[in-house]
Amino acid sequence: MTQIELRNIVKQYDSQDQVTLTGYKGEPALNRINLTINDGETLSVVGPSGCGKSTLLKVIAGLEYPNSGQVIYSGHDFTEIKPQDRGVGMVFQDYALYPTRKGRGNLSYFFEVHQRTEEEEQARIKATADLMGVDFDLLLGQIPDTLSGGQKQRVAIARCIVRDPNIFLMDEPIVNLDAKLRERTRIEIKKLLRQFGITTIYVTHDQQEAIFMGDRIVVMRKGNIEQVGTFDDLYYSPANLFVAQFIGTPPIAVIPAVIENGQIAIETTRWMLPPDIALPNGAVRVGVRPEGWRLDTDDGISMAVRHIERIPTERAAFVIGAVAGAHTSIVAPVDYPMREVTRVTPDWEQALFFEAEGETVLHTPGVPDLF
Amino acid sequence: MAERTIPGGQTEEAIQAAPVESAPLRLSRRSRIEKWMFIIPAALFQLVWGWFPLVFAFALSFTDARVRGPISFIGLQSYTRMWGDPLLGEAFRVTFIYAAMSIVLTFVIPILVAVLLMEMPPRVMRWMMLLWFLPLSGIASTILWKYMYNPEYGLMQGIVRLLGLPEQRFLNDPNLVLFWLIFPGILLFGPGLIYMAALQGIPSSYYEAAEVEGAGFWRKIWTISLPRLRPVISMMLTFAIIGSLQEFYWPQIMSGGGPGSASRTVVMYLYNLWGNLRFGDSTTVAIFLFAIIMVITVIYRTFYKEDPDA
Amino acid sequence: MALFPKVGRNQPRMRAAWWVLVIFLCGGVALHLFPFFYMIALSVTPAHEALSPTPVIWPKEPTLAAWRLVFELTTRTSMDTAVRDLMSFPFYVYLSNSLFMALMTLLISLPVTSLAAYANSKLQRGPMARWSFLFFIGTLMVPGVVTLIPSFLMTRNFPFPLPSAPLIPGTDDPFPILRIWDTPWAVIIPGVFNAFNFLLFKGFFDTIPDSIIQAARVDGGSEFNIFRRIVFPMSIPVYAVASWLQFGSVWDSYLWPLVVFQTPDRIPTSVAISNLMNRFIQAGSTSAQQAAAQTASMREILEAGLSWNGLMVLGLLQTIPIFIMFIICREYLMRGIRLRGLK
Repeated sequence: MTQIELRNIVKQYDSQDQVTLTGYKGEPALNRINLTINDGETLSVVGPSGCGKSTLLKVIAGLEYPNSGQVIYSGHDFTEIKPQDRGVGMVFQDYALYPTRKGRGNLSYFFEVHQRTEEEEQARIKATADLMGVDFDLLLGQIPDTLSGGQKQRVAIARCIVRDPNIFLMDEPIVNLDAKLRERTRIEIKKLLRQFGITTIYVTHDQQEAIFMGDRIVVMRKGNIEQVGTFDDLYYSPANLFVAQFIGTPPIAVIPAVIENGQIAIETTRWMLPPDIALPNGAVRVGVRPEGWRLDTDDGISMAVRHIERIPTERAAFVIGAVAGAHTSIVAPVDYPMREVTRVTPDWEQALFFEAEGETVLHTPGVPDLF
Repeated sequence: MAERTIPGGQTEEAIQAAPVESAPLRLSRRSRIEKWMFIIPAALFQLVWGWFPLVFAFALSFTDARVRGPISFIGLQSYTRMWGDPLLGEAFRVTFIYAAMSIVLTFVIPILVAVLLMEMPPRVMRWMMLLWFLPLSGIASTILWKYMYNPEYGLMQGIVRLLGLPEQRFLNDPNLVLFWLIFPGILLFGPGLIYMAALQGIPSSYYEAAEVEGAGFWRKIWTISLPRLRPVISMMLTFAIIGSLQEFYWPQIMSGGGPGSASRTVVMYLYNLWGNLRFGDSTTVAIFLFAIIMVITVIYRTFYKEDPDA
Repeated sequence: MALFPKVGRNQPRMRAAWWVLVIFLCGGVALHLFPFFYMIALSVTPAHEALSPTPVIWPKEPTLAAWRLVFELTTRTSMDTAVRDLMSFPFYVYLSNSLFMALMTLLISLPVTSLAAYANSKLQRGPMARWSFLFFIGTLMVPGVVTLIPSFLMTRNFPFPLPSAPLIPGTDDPFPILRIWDTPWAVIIPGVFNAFNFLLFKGFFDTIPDSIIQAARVDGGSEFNIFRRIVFPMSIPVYAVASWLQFGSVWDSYLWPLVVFQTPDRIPTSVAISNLMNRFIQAGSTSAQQAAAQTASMREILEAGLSWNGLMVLGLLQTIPIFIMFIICREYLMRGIRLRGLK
């Protein structure tokens, strides 16, 4: 079993538009990354596109060699080891099946190049097929072009597990599937991962997926790790404004405010802050999650309602509009009536406070004690 | 940054300090030379037969190299001699007219044909493509056209008579010989295949979107097909310019440069010099031609960008 | 199927335009096929009829005389010495020369060029990739004639592009040289790296997703194994296109073989046929009046039934291999071309 550790990884992009005849231009894809992935855990990596999350995965797989830094597998320096000897199994976003080989051929390439015996190959493919479900044998006889997206994906996962890997690496494996299939496959992958208990790194741009798959979540931006933690860590005590805004749908509302002697003012509306929130006087920004508002309050600030998005299946609605010019979404009962203007008050116990300029967090509510 | 949370509660410094063993030796290491095994053979050939002769061509043009005997450096003598050569001036004039005519007459048609061929239903298109791009050997077509152009019994004269036009002398006509040399090329559409392959890659949704906008037949060609072909057209045009400026084969075989010097191109002139074993002079002519091609290519590439966004 | 609107194709105007297009294209096809037809027609025309002032479209009395004569010429079974003297060697000698050169070039050139293009597309990264790309295609902008003379001299005195090998300093002995001039290798070796094919291959390999190669690396293939087992089977179309283009250019090349061959039995068909045509023209057997005034031997040739018809037969023979290559590769042509410009 494997624990992975990244130390000070720096990796430059080398796509065509990032390369000149003399060197590189632009920021590196990975900028001094330090990260430890514990044995047997599933780590989700999320971030906006171009944040370097796929590059991170490739550095771990050995498909890209870092410009500097160390990749350590269970205490051994694997920085320069080829991917084939790292014992990784990888699933790609576009499945990356070998187009000229049938399903079985895709699975058997590993055994061919590792000089394994025919019997072992057959046995492993059979075991994998059993694991993948009843109709999987049918897929093995087909050329990838004739398979549907979901089927390709299953072959790709089978190719990944047929070698009995030490680490699973998944690069947005289900992003190209349609919504319903995505839901189902997500559960299947999760089931497989639990069955194997193998160290897994799961890269995605979808935070729902990241929350569902990962024991812990890494949030990346522009080649940096912004925060590592469980979902509750990220949601209730984000490391900075970026993480706060990135995690949570609909996103958190960030409203400029002024603090004056224990009082807070948004535009001309003033409230008393709870005593446990001690902040210096001056301009701040308040972050309020959709569920962190109280609607129709007497002392509330007026909110211009743009529309109400009702989600009958969840028995809830989102009131979407603007508070003090900032885009705001608020959770409401599903039958909440439409009106032009409503009065709302933040629940200060749940609110986050940020600097007026910059991204630094001044105060977070912390993970609530549910039990 | 020191405050950054590291999983497991360790600080960054603590992690850096943890000891690391090197990986077991049986595991294969990253190979920095593997990719060179792919490149070296081609690189050698390209160096020896691509770049070396080029560099040497420059060197040779400053000498009086002949078949035997010592070679001495004569500086720019070849250049001044060839610069003042009226025959060379005439050859350049012929070459420019030839190149201009052949690009005007032969470059656009394959693009148009490719665009129109794509309109046919797939089965019809495949058959038409097969028939249209059926290759004829260059040698064979010289034989055929040589016969067709015969002023006495050739088919072209027959057509001319049929149309009631005055009799033509074809390749013996100093004024029209260049046109008649280019004429067979009008009927060949080989490059059309390259354009068709590029056209194939245009998603049909582009055309559908244009249709919704109300674009008609020509407008779609102008706003979708041609812009998407732009990189390929640009490249083909570069090759066409280079190719037509160094035309040799057709004039040599068909008209032998005549009548007089009416169809003697620069490369034919160079070839004659070479036949007289004036290596230095003929290399100098080649370098003149190269310089002109470079200038034309650079000018045209600055005005016609391959990628409009770049 | 894109320029005509999907809806309203049945309007009279659209239908008319459609048929105009169809007729235009069919006309073009007919025009393009005419040379093939005409060569066949001429090859079965009697020698005298081919020289009559009324142009022939299809002979009044088709005859296979020319085919027979050329066959005799190729096998040298003809008793007619005048015909025999037209070509100093049987035609199949030239044919095998040409085939050897063309196939050998393909055999060496395609792997060398495609491996480099693959490495440049998928293995080299960063600035190095840009540099080697320029190194490989830089010569494409250089007109062939510039390097013609140095290359010619190099075939004579490899590796010196000089009229004669220089002397080793301090002695009277010249440096050892390798002479490939006047051998098939003088055509094959300089053509091994083909910059245009490099561009063609690179354009194609660029379209192969990196992830497929990465998947193969995770699976554990060596780079060469990945190329052979995964990439090559995907790239058959581009190999077809490249071999078609290169075969055609070697098969039909004229100037270079003309200068690097001296021994008559080593020349390729292209040069042999051109030489024969020139001799015909000079001897005047292509014009009835002239021929009559010409030497007895030439009259004999004409009597034997050989004039332009024989040349047409040779021309058709010259076309056949190109034709076969086209038929073999046609399935792949459209899929194999992925040129992307010179950037």
